[in-house]
Amino acid sequence: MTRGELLTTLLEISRDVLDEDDLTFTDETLFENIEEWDSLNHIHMVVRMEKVFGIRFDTSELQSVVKVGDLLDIVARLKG
Amino acid sequence: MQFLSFAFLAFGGMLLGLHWAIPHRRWQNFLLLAGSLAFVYSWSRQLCILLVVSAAVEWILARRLKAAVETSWRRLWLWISIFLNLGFLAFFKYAHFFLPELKGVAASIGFRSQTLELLVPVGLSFWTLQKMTLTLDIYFHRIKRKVGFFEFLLSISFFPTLVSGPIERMRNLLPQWKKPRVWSSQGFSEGIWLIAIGAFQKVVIADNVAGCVDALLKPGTSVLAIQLGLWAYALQIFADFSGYSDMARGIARLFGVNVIQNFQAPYAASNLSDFWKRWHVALSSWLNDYVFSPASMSLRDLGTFGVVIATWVTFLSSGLWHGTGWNFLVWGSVHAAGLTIYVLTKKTRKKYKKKWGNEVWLEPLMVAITLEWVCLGYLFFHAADLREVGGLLSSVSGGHWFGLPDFDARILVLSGLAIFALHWAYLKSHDPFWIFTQRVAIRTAVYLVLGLLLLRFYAPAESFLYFQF
Repeated sequence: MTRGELLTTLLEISRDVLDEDDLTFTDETLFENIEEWDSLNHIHMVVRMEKVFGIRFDTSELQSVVKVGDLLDIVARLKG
Repeated sequence: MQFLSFAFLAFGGMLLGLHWAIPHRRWQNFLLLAGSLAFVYSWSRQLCILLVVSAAVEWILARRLKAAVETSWRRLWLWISIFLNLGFLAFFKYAHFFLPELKGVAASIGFRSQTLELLVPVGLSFWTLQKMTLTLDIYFHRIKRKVGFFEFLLSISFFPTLVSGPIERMRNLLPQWKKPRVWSSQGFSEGIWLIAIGAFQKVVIADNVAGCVDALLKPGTSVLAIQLGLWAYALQIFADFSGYSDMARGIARLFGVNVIQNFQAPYAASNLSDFWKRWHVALSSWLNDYVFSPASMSLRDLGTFGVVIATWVTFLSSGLWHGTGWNFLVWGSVHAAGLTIYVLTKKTRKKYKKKWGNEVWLEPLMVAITLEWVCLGYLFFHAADLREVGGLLSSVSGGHWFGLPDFDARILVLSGLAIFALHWAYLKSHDPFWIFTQRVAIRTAVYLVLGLLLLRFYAPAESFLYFQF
């Protein structure tokens, strides 16, 4: 998957899990600025991402994620 | 030395003058550290020693953790830190509660029992959590640079936030000691505003509405009295703790240091998840980052059940942090139960949001339900123990519905209006410095009213509710 495809897929997952049909974000968007992305939804997002991308996050590696681009970096690395 | 005392005014004023007279950041930091340790010393000599020694231990552990390459060693140093910090907190906060004989042991090593009891009110729970963020953030790769001992000690002992927070993260404080701090009139004005609005909340609202709480929340009154009493307590605890937090932030800002905003119009929250993003943000985000997130990640294969378990672990931890009484565990359980309902009804809420999302009554109704749930929690949070809660609830079983004791209803109404106005002003701009964007006439009127009310109601003796934690 290209970086653009990863971003598009993440956006589709987010719109569904966060129930925000109009949601848009870029690599530079901070998670704290995505209103519906709270700690409860975060874990639902993690589970869905693992399923869709076929990856497994380490328990602590998402702790330092601040913006969408950081998350995509980890997804890209795990997908190899 | 309380914030609202002339001794603190003299101490803070002198330190502030010296701080801005010194041209170099390094010497400013040294002065702040010396001033902060003097502030701690003014509370207790033993506390000052404990603070420095425990900071040194934490700093050494953090260095070992940072130097470790293998995951097993990193985990070991992290768990030693967690064990020592929580053990330290439990010993001083809880051990004398369960095991009075430990006082004798403590006395034999030089700590009189009075010292142990004195430690709790002077910020142990707050600076212990703050201290832990160094090792935790190094473990989670949020702090990557080398951290010096003196900047770490300054972060923990920084006097505006030492007593009751806000529990600032090391990753936010440490970089501020490295940057030059330049005096600005805007920063100074913002600091004075925060101190003034904080003092207003404490002196004018919290200390006055406290009388209503005492009168209404008495055993055997009535259901109406309990309801009014809980609303009054909601006003009191918000005004008290938000007032303290604003003053702490304001004092820090006078020294050019930015500290986390602890309250963001919490009673405007439309669900409990939203409430915890707005109430005691420093603690709730700490618990979220270091308890809920790791727990929910570890339990994610259990699906929604895993989220529910992580929620209960988080809120029972919060209850334990506040105190050893069963009432605090029940308070934590009330919030955990509310959030469990919130998690389990996600699909139903989604359905009704589509149906009624645009109705004007939905948001106020959700805000009212959330506030009532929070007040249900206050029933246990306010009480000294569960027996007191039982005494209050006896009026329900006794069928006493509408009788009211003597209390000043005007204070309750005016306090409610003042808190509503503060929430409204914040929500309109999402800016704690909303006052500076107002017209001159409004600004002048607000300053005059604040000044007059502070002069009218100022009383130096009142302590803050959160000092007990």
